Amino acid sequence: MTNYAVACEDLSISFGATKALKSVTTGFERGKITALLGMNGSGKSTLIKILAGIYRPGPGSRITIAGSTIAGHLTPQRSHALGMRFLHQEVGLVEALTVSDNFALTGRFKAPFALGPIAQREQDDFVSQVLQRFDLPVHPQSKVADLSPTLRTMVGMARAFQHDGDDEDVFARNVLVLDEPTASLPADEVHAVMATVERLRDHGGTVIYVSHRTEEVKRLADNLVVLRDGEVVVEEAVAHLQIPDIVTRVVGKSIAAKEPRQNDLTAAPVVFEVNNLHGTRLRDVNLEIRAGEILGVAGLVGCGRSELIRLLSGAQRPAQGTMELKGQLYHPTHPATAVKRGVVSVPQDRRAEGCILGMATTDNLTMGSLNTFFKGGLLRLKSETLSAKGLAETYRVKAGDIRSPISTLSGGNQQKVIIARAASKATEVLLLDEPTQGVDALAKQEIWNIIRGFAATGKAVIVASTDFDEFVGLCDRVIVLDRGVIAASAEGPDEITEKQLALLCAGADQ
Amino acid sequence: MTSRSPSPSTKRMTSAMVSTITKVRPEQGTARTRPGPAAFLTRYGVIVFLVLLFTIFALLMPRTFPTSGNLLAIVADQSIPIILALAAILPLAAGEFDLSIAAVLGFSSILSIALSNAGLPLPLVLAGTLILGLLVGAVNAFFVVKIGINAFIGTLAMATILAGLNLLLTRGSLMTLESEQFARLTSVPGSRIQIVIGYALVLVLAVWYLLERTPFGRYLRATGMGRPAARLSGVRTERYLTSSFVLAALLASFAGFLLASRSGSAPPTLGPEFLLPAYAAAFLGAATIRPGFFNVWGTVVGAFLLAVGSNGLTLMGAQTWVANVFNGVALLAAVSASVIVARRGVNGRA
Repeated sequence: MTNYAVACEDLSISFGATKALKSVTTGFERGKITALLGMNGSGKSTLIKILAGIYRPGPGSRITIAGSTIAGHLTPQRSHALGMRFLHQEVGLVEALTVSDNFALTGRFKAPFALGPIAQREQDDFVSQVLQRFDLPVHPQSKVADLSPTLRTMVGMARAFQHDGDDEDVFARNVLVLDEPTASLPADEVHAVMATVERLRDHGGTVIYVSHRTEEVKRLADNLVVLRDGEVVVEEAVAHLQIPDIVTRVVGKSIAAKEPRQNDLTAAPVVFEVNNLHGTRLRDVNLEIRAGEILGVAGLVGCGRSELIRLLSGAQRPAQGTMELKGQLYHPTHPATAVKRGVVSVPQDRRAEGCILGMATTDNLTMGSLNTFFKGGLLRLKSETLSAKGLAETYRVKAGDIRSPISTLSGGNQQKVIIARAASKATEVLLLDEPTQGVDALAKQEIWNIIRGFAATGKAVIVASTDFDEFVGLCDRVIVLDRGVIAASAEGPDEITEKQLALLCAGADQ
Repeated sequence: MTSRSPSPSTKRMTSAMVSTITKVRPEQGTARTRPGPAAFLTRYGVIVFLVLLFTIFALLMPRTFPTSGNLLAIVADQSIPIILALAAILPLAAGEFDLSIAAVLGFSSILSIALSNAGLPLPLVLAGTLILGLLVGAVNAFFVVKIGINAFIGTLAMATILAGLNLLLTRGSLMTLESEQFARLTSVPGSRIQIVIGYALVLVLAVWYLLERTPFGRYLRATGMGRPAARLSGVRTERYLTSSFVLAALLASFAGFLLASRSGSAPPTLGPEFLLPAYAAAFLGAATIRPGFFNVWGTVVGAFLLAVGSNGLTLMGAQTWVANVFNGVALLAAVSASVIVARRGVNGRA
């Protein structure tokens, strides 16, 4: 019998009428990295929250951790005492505080006696030791806000182990659960996190790894557990699987291989022109985008990708430079002026800037277009709902009740709502910043199809992304930004390949 | 970022305070799709509490409490506080606190008595008072929206300034209204007719219409619930914030004008005592009818809950301190109950 560090038996849980997990029985092998996969809404996060003791599973559920079987509620304290260590997607560090203070938030400050003054030096020494164990070049007194996203993730990981001593089997005693640790990290920095996870395993650690990035799973994981609609559908070793096999197992059907775009744009008119544009980081950007073209914007973290989108969408004012839309001067001073001219953006941060979480899906879909439904001094709620329903259908938004808050939708569907809202208003140019970050493979395909369909109507699209896959499957042309300037560009299926883009982004010239 | 929307971290703090109440909202969806006792309580708990309180007082004091005279008095007494609560919910819906509304009410009341006593005809007194409201609202909006200071602090400063001006205008003593015509704006002498209720009813309907049936209202809420997303969708959130402060001050100054007419006099310290009841009604209101949203009918219910409570207790012979304690406890209990019930709902443990 396999040696499981964590085993679940008949784990069920319902939220209202929805069964989030249906009698899940599975295990996570000791000393191995097990990838926990599944599309948005498949029950991964729920399973993790049960293991963390946050959710209480239904009757009949049993969890065995380190030999102790718990029937009923596993409290967060019990979960921690049994060696479960978690790093959630948001990492949970307070940016305004120092690394040392952040350690104390989940542990406690070193002090000579209760309510005594903080022994800062002792505290820093302790933190420094923990950081060293993870080979992190971080000073305890650094502000978290000053660390790169990658370092933040690793500091979060180190913090999870702060009270576990420094002997040889510290990792072997515990189970580390990583919930999409790399989702918000730039692709080129992911390897640092992966290396740390591998080291943990080599020291006997058990890791449960949740990710949407299949190539990471292939490289890292020993085993695979796939959830679909709250049930375990696949449990197998990763070694003999190829990336497409893994995708097929997650999605449940095979996804057609990417077809590079073949699109002759030489005859198409120029829709949008950027001349000598300067922002805070961007310098001297010049661009021409043709009708029907999908332009990719690549580059490492801090290259100015998001700033370019903000400048074009009126969310930020350029320091210098001019823009032209269909031959007319375009100088947006507010996103509203940009929207009026038919230039609409989809921001990177879905939860903070994309949707209004407390409001209904309908309200989110019609945000900014309510005047259409304001007739005779009344907001016509029926025709608004009808129009929102139409949009939801066109853009394949799966929602139980579209009048429920958008927060009840899965991430991929929330993203489709935001894109639907933007695309329905963008009569000229659609700007997208990381349109498929953190969404599952199927939703990704659907979003790409939406973008392709939009461009096919003769409008222009600009996509900023760190996902090279996205460029290959989607773009006619890709520009590469490096520290604020356009450093390179690639055009057509021969040049837009993952390898070529990786080289260009890394600063290697052709 | 050169984005001009004010967002210092202190500001985020107040927004977070406002949005604590809106956190009830996500669960409302489950409430709508799956009606049950928990969902019912979330939505109508405050109303149930009001009915219960009313019934208890009516049974305990059948001769004094449920009389038409007493009930009319409750409604009439609440008319001006309800108008002020309407002033509170507009900035709240946009995600900001306006702490100057009670001071605007106080100052407007004193100003309109002063203008009237100086011999100005009523329309001019009203115009002068409303212009003051407009100015205060514009100044509030300028500092909060343009300069970018925290609304909590900015409007608190405005309240302090107005309290100072109160002393200037009254010279520190009670100011008494001389015009009888002014007094007749809110009641008819020698009869039980209370015109003030009419003003409140019209304004309640107007604000309800604005919030629930116009794009303005929806965009105002979007400004409060997801400002960046609303902005990127093309909503000029700065304009909605500005409007909310201006409308709040206008409503508050009109409430002050009515108060001058109704009470016929104004002490130099008039104002601050109206602030807490207005916010209590607004937050009680956000716990009912449309849980998680500051809404007009909920606010009206909230105001009457507090009024019935203190009226009943007073009739029972309770000392004055009891009413205050009751108000505080009722607010804590009602809002907590709705939050707890809503949270249960989402965790599947209800």
